[in-house]
Amino acid sequence: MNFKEYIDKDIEDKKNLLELLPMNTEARVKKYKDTIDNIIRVYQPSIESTKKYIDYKYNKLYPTKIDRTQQIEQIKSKITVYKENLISTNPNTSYYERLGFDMLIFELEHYYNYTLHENNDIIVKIISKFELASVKISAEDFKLNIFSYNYMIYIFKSIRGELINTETLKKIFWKCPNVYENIIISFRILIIKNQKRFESYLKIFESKILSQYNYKSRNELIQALYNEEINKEQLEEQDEADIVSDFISGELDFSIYQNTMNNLYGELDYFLINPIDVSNQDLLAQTLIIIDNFYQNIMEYQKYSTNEVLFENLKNTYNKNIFNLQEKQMKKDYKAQLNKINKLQAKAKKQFINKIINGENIDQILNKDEFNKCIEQQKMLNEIYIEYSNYDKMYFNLILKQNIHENSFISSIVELIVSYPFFSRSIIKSVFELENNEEVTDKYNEIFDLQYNRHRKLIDMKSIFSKENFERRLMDSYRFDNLNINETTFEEDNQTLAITNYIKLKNKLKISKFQRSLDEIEFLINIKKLKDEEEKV
Amino acid sequence: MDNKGKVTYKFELKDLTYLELYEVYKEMIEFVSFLTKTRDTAEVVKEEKEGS
Repeated sequence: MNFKEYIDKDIEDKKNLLELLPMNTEARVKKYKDTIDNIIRVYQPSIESTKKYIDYKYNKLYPTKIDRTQQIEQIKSKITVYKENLISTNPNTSYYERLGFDMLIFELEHYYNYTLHENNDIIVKIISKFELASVKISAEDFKLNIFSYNYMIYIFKSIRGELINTETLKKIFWKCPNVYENIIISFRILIIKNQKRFESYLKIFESKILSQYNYKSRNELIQALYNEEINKEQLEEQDEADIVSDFISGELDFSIYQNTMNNLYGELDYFLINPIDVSNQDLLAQTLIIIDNFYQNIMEYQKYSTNEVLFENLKNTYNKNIFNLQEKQMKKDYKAQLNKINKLQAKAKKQFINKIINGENIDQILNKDEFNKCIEQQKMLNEIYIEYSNYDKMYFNLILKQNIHENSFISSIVELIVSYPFFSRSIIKSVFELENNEEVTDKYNEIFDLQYNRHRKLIDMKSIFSKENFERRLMDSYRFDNLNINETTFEEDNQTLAITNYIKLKNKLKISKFQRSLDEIEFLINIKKLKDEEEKV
Repeated sequence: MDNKGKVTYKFELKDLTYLELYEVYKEMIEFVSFLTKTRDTAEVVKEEKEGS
């Protein structure tokens, strides 16, 4: 008989004894209560010593998680820098995207989403891009429209560290609600004018970046990004302490593992067509590698399928607007569009009213003739602004024409989305009906990761236009390797099932190597529950 | 058995499995809790007379 058996019997005996005690008089009830007190008194030391022993065991077995947050954050910062460098050195884009002008102009175009202070920051960021390429610009370069010119006088003052009265900026905005659009026009003139300076800066920048890391080519930069991602994954990989902690907290369901650990490779039945001899170590290792690859494919497929609607949208745009166009004609039209804008700009510049606004004189700054002149000029500027928007559309259409062909794969679309956020963000926003910029950024980053995914395979297999069933191709290739993949595997619920089974298999293999036994883990879970209940009381 | 004829047992908690250890502890605290409740609510029970 052990202690547990003894206590089981003793509790039963005591309960029987209490049932037999008469309670028909006050004296007998008192005796009944005294008996109970005696039993409690006998039990108390046993409870205390058992608790002490349990606490000792519990503390000894309780996992100490290693906090790797700081290391992970450091790697994340490195990854961000690598990603920025990849954007700045993207050979498929122009200086406009590589310097990030596209995104800053995009943000300023949506000035109504930002505060005055934030909009000023965006303007300062655009100016800083000029500084990078040693292009000196001042308010004098914004002598296009009286209000945008005066707004920029204040911006340059603030850059010099002078205190500025933001009330004046607000007044300018109320007087000329198109002020940001007018500033954008001036920026675009300046950006195009300094194209060569930006291009030579980027050339130097790229070689500087590569030599900084001692890389021979941009591909090594991509490899460096992958290496950091491997480091990050290794740090994020759950070890024994992490998994046991998740069991204790209930984040991972222990019962699922407890009941299936005796069949360690049970999940292989889900993945394989024919069972394998798991005692054959080489065959087992080989099979696990194939399943690892399949898992990466399913993860990629999941990202692909959740964004399929976006790829379809771009495909339809291509079919509708671009397919029948000739690249030569598109280039000609694109050039002609810029000439048209230049002519309009030259005309608008002649209408510039060169006056300084000091805040108090804003309502009297224009006489009647100047006021009319200003109204006329604004009409021209509005037209220029729309023509720039058409120019951008023509630019992106040309990019699509040059990069998408009859035999292109989804990877080409993904690359365009990543390379041209100026366009893709608007499309992302409308296709997924997203409300705010953070959601658009998250989606954009998701597609960025699809592009720079070291396990990338499917988006290079899936044709944009061909009706070929690429799931079938994938299925066939895996069936050669004894993997039980069929067409339903790619359905949403089954993707999740495959991922769940994979994680379960991986966790089981890890648990089988744990220092703690299943009984010990169960003990930790049970005692934690008891402790939580005790705390509640 | 001591000299008064009372039987005493010596148990080692380390002889228990983890599950038994948890269960015995739980049973004991539940039993004491049951006892406390029973004692606090105990009152005189009037015996019913036969035939009434």
